[in-house]
Amino acid sequence: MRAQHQVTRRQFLRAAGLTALGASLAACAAPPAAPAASEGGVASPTEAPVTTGGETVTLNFVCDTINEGHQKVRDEWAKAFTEKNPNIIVNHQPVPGSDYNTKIQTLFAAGTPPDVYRYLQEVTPIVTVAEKNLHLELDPFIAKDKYDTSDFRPSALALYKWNGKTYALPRDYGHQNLFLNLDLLSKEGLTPPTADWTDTGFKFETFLDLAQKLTKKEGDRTVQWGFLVNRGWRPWASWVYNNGATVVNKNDQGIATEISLTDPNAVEAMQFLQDLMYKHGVAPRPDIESEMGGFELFASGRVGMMINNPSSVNQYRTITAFKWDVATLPLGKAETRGTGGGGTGWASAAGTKYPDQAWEFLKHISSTEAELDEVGVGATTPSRISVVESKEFLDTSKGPANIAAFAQAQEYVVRDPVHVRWPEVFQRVVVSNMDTLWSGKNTAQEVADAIKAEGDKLFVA
Amino acid sequence: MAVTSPPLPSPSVTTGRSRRHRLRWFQHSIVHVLLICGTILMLIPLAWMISTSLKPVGDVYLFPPKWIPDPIQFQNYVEAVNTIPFLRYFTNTAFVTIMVIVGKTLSVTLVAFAFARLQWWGRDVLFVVMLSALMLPPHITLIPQFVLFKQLGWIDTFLPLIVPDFFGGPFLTFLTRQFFLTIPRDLDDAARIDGCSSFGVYWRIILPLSKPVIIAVIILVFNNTWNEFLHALIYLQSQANFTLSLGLRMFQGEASTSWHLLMAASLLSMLPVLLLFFIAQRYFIQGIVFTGVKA
Repeated sequence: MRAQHQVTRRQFLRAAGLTALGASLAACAAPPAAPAASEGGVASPTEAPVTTGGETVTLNFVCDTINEGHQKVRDEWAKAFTEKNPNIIVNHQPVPGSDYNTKIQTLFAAGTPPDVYRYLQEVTPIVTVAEKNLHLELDPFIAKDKYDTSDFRPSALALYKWNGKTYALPRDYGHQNLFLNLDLLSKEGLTPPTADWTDTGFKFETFLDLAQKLTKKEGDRTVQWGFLVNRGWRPWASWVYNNGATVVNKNDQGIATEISLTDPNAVEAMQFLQDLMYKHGVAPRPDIESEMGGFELFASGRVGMMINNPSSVNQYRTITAFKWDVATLPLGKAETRGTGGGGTGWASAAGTKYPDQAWEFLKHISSTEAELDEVGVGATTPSRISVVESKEFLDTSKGPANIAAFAQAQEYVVRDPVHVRWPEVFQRVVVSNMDTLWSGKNTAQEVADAIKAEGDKLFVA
Repeated sequence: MAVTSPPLPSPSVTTGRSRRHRLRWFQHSIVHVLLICGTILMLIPLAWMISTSLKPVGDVYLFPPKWIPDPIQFQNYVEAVNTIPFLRYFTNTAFVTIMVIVGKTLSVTLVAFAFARLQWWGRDVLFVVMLSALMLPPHITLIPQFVLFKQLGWIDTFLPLIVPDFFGGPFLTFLTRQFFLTIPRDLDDAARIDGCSSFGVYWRIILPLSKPVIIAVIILVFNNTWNEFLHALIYLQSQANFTLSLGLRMFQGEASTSWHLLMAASLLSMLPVLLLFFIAQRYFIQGIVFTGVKA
């Protein structure tokens, strides 16, 4: 007798579909992947293997994408470290740069901070790190291993210390420089400004004269600008520093106490920047710059000078249409120059389950060899003096010819204000008010007064 | 035999017709010229993308810009897919997208059916509550969701990107419900008289009549999931699990962007979206214009 329960085509397809769906969902739980392998030079770890008591440990190493070369270098660091320490797997997680803060903040807020990550002290002030106990304190490890920190530039190391405790190792130490279109200068018969940061001859007035000579008009339309105002925080603050003023006043501990932009020298520097766009007409206004892009305008050969940091040098190296170089920043009323900067560090979260292993990896990626690896792929200003003075970093073959100025400028770095509420003051008060300076709506005095009135309240609160 | 010739149109009729004909031709020409201008305008970014993807790196910023690259560098495409594990990211994205399409289409149509065709207590109130969920910015639930998925051990898996979509979504449920409302109720009644259950009405009557809206849902879900970035950024950690939207951002560095490679990789990644749209655009437009359905 034939079986009564015959499976129809429809029933079969339904069952097969549901099975496939279930199997697919089960497959979603992909196992953690090993770090991607790649070619290229890599730091050779010289440390002895770290013992983990036989247990295999996975360190999450989170870093923003600096460029494709840096990602490969970090993959190689992870691979080399695991080869040396087979029980420690380093899971390198590159995060797109513009979304890095979102990722890091989510990881910390959810209680799953990375074991090792690139710490941005301008986003999370060091005082916040110390007060909220966010990072692993490194001093016990430094003492235990007698780890030599003397090669790091002292001011770079100081960025990560608070109340005598160290919360990160310096990765880089950047600043602002003047980038020049040499062809435009040469066409006008102009001598490029000095690249020597000790030379005090290059003044605001000399700069304005250069910018005016480089600006070209066809009728009412400007077809070439002498300068491009970089409206980024550190670039504009550098003008304030070079005019002998500061952005904030500090107490003995170095904590910001109040806004000091109402100082006449600060106001003068800010007004100078606005005048470059609206009075002298030697720099494109923000609407033109936003439409065409800052670097893009320079790279298209329509801007003579702009301020940028050495991390962007790889981008300049793609320019083939004209010769370019770097110089110092113009000096106003200050006796010596100041350039807004700082840098980033390598840190481990306090909540890491594997502090010993994280420390070993921190040493691995902060070594001289590791910094040289990063020099090899560009976009860094090393924090180790031996590296920033090395022939590899000072190699002029890829440009700029005055690359030594990058090393010298580290002596003139002015760090960002330190205060738990500085990121809030900056976002809520400084940025919004400075926009009215850039748009020409308010004068520098009005902007400085507004920033002081609103910012001081937040500092006090 | 006298031959009667057909009456000739009077000169005034002929002139009227030819004037109308000319007028219609003129109107069509204007419409076509406008449409061609609009098309060119819309295609400029795509053309710029293709041009940049084939340029040597040094020519990307040239002014005045060069539309036709010289030399044409097809090598950029090879470099782009080798710089990131493109195939791996493509496979991951395709897998997540297919799963989300299956989950979302099933759940959205089922919920929309309940809202549109069934009578039950509190239905309209719940519908308003569901719509109010549209106002909730996704960032508000980001950290609670992350903590939840962490507790479930789902971090660095595709599950957080897929499973929530098996529970519908307010906008698409609304869209589908509106379409379902336009299908005559007589069909449900007839099916029920023939012994069909509620699920039977959904499966045998409503779904087969709703191809346009289902295809519209599929295209919208496909497009959103293929390009989804925020959740992939938060939940995926290992490079081997990355999706294309994460992979493409790898060309954007801290201070520089490899535009030529980014454009090459972006073009490759948008091909499936374009392909799907071209194949299903007729249904897609029908589904969106839900008031004009042929039921």
